Amino acid sequence: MSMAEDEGRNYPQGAASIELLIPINMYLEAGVHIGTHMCTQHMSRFIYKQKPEGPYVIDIRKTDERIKIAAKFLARYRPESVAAVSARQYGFTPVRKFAELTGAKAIVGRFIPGTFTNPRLKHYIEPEVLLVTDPRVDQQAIVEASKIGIPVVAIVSTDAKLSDIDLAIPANNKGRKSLALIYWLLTRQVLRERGVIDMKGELPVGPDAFETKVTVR
Amino acid sequence: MVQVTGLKSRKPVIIEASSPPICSSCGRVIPPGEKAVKFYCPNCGAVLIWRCKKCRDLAIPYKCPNCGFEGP
Repeated sequence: MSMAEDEGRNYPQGAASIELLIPINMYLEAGVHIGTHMCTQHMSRFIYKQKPEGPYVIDIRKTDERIKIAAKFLARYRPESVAAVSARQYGFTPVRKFAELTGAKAIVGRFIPGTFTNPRLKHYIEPEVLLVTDPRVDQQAIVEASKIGIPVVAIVSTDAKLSDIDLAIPANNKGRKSLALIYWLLTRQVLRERGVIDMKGELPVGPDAFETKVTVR
Repeated sequence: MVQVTGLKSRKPVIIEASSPPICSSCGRVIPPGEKAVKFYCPNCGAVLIWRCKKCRDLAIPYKCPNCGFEGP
């Protein structure tokens, strides 16, 4: 029995009855529920359980609910006024794809200080909302967003602090497949909320297109 | 009987100022210039939520009075 099947078997029966965006097995196979060995006080309400080996398990239903809410929230802003940030390498492709399909601005790699606050810089932008992949890594973007007073949406794992974050999406923000699935879901849901595709419509690409490809040297 | 109203009985003319923003988490008035943030409720989008700098730093939860959504 695979790990995903094992986790699915352990989930309470009520989880199946709640309508999720995608089947629960897709979440479990991508490892969206896997947290870290550390849990902060802020994140304790998103925890489902702690495994005997140590890592915490994130409640998938809360992740699903928050993805829906975050998509509704992001869809209210103009597409070009959304900035998606990722300094994490596995987040580069998902963020670029998200930006390409929704019209947002993607900032991948090193976040150059002053991007939001220094108008003399060439790459200065004035976003109205910020989407962050990992608050521990993208700290500079969050600090600048708090200086200019824009709301911050963040994908947070169990080890994150929610300082300066206005909407948290609890999920595994370290895994390649997990990040791809979360951004794919966010993209699909944002486009549904904007009316670009039907409420039951699908994206032209699957979650695989959002994955960062592993290159063997 | 005629009542004479003097200057003392006249009420001062009040020009109503705009109401200052109040933090949705702690209920404190947010002074102008503070690095606060405002956004519509992520869930219902009906209520304007204000968060002061301190509540954002400490991640104090806010609650939407309309839909009951609790964040962050």
